[in-house]
Amino acid sequence: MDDDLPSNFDVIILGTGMPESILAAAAARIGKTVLHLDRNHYYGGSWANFNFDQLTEWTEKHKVIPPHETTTSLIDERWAECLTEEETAVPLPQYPKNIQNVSCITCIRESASAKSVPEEKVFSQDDLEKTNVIPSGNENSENTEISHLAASSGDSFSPTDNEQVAEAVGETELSGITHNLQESESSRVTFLGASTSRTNDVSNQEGNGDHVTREHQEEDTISPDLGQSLEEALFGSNTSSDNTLIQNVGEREDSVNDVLEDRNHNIRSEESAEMCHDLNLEPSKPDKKEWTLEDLHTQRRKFNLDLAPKLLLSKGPLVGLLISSNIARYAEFKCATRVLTYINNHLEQVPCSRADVFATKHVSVVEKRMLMKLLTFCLQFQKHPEEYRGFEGRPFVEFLKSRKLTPSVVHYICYAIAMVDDSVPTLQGLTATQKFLESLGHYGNSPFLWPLYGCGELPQCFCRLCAVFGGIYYLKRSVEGVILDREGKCVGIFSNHKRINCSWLVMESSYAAAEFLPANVPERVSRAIFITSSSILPAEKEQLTLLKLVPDGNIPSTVTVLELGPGAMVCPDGLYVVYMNCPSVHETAKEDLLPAAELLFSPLNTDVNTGCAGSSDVMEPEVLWCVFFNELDTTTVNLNEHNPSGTIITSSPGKSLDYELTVKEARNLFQKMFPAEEFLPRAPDPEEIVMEGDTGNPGEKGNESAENLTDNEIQHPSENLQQPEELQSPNDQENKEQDQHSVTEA
Amino acid sequence: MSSWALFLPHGRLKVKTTAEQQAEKEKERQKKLQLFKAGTQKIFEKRKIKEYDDEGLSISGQILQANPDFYTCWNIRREILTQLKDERTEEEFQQLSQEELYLIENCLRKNPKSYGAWNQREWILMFMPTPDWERELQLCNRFLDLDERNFHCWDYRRFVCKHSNVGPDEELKFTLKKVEANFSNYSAWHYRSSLLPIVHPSCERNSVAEAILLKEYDLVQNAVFTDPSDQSAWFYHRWLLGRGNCFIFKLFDLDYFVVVCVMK
Repeated sequence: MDDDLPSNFDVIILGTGMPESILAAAAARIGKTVLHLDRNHYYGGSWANFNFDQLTEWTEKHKVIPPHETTTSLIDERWAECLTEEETAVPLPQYPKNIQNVSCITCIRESASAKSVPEEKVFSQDDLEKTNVIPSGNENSENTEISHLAASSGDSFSPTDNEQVAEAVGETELSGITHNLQESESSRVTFLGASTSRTNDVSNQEGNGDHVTREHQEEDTISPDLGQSLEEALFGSNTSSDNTLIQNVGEREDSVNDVLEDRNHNIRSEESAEMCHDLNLEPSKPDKKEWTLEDLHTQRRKFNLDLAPKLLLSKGPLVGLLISSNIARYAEFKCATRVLTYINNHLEQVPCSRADVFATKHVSVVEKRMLMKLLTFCLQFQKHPEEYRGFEGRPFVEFLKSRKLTPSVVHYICYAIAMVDDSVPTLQGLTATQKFLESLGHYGNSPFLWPLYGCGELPQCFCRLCAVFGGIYYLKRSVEGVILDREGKCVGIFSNHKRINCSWLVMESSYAAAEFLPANVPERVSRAIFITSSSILPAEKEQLTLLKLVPDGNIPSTVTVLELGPGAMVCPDGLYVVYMNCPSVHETAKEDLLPAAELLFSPLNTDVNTGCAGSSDVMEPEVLWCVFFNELDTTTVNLNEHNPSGTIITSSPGKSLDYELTVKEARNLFQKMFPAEEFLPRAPDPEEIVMEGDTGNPGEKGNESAENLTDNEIQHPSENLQQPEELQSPNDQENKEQDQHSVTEA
Repeated sequence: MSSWALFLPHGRLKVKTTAEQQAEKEKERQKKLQLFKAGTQKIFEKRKIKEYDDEGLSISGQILQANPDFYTCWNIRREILTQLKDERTEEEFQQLSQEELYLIENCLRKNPKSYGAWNQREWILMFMPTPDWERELQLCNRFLDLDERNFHCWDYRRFVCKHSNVGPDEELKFTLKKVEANFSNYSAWHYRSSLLPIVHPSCERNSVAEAILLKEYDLVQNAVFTDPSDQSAWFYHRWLLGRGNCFIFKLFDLDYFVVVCVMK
């Protein structure tokens, strides 16, 4: 009640998911006062990222079926005091039902010695830290404090002007620091062979709770400004192969092909035999470790598990936005390394780039030519409408078949590259293929980027920018109701019995009252997170894998599978994380996704006492732990139809693989709120800011420099996660860059 | 200085204008230029009076980091190092050489195609007491990861291999790896063509075993079918076919054009 929150804001935002965070940053960036609240004690809402213990905690919490809303009792007398005669109040739901059917399966023993597994809640040091680090207004207590986001979560944010809070937080953290140091030090010795060189990095972040174990991975990381050096690896650096000679050579081509094909078949079978040989070696490693639940808890901080994992298309709108707004510096990325598909009862790598097509042993040279030709055409299909004339409205798959492509090539293009199902019309299929190909080769051998440490980082990047521009953050703060004026326009909220006025109220759909939303939200997404012992398709190097499973008898709808290893900073060495999602068909996510799991993994070991993971010698990876859940999908309905004016409702993560819809949504909503304003103009770098004592004419044309700076000026990726706590002199930066480039260090 | 928000009256940052930034940059540039000029003058003076010492190394090092293509400067360093080799103990000189390698590496990062720097690197490795060839091979790997067609580095790699017992068969595997990553790579194909007769010799002089040739043929065929408009693969194709009789080669040359057309 008596907190120091101002009582007037331009924009109040409920929920710290992706669209809300983008809007928060965009509003703060143009000078609006922003109050950003989240009912949870963590950032991200349905887009959040957890370590292992936090995810188990989340699981436990959501297993409980939320009670019915007791709307009447919520209308407090105190509300009436704050309202003028013409105003009314609408209560907001306190028990969101956007997450359903949470089901968690542990397939390993509790600990190496334990015989039985009692369901037990492990309360961790993290939980304690969390309450320390994140200043929170407990719903029940009056003892609340305000903080800018920057001060609130030490892990990725630097202190802002609210230095008192920062100091206070710093103090409470101190107790945790020493503990962390010891703990992570020891765990590093035990589990990470060669990690001594990482110590300096860790020491900087040691006191920062969850992300203590984060290390910069220099070699493989990229940020959206790099990639020129990879130009040569691009698909089709010479894609403009001319079609002029085609007419008369068709026959000849065939005859040449016939000759080549025979030989080629022989070689292919030889090579695939070799492949099998290699594969056989892989799983029978003698030193396979038996993991226990205790191990997972001990290494909890090495996990960064996402509720809503997505990939970024290298040329997609989010990468564009991150670069143009200069927010890219807050994150690091890694390129997905392969796209798999399930064909002829096994997993196969889809050749999508030129290098892939050249190196693949799964298709003949003739198929290679057909594939490359088609991909080249798709890249600029608009220029050759005659090629697909007559197929515009017909399914893409029919068009592909009409091109005399072999079934496996059709499969690659349709299900793995365009990632569409059989009913999708040709134009849509071509567009999807084109999108894929356009993003290919910018940062590596696949069109997709993965944010290191998980997708949960991304909303926080935007939150950070918002905080830098004065936005106020308050986690674990719920909102009881919305205040409407006589015309039904939203003028403020009730939060913690306090009235806060605003011109715009943005809320994630699970915050909105039922009457604000469309009558029913029929669609849901089924999601699953698996922690597994090995890769679904082992390879020499660690891979970052995307796989789409096409619906068939067992699999009810297209399943998107992402597999990430320790190199993606999501799990400890020796483990993999597999995410699955699909549009819900059955009642529960488990029913939807179990068939896919059975296809990729060895059968889930539900009796933890008998079989212990790692004992059998099957090829498939074993699942150590997994969780299934359903989530309401509000991306498919128009959320801003029934809501009061002055409010904006944003959608849930939904089932799409990338962030295209999210960015589009945020941009459109921003334009609706502030039609005349620019959406996230480039944020200045620290050295462009006029400091006190600097000469010059301040306050003039603040944003002008933005246009003159190109993408290339974005900082080096390894600096991206560094905090601008102290504005570095250019020399410092140079030195750092040199260190990071040093070839000898490796 | 720990906070940006201090400078945020109502969320508006004060940002330097472009003109201000340009003026600052220009000032920096002028400062650097003066230092560079003064340094150059100094080392030339020192060379004149044959004053070969650590100071000379330090100054020339700084100059070279600014401009790795300053040949004379590399030569001055050689003179200094040659002199110091006699003056210092072996241990000390080894240390100096290590520093030299580190400097060259920095210069190469600035310009990975600097003739002077690569040349100096070869020289110091032959000149220093105990070179670490394994590390040099790693360096090649890293530079070829950054730019797989840097022929300076490919040349240097051959130099390293020659002095460090790296088997040609290992190198052959390496070229395959590079070709698989991106077959638009003349250097890799060329290196391959020079390694094959060594790794898989046939009874004929300077020739390759027939079975291997067929395998190579398959490899290059995959490349041209993937992208017929890429020249590097055709070059290798031609080398493979042209190894035998000159007459056949000429005959084939005609057909060659036809094949290329058919492929497209």
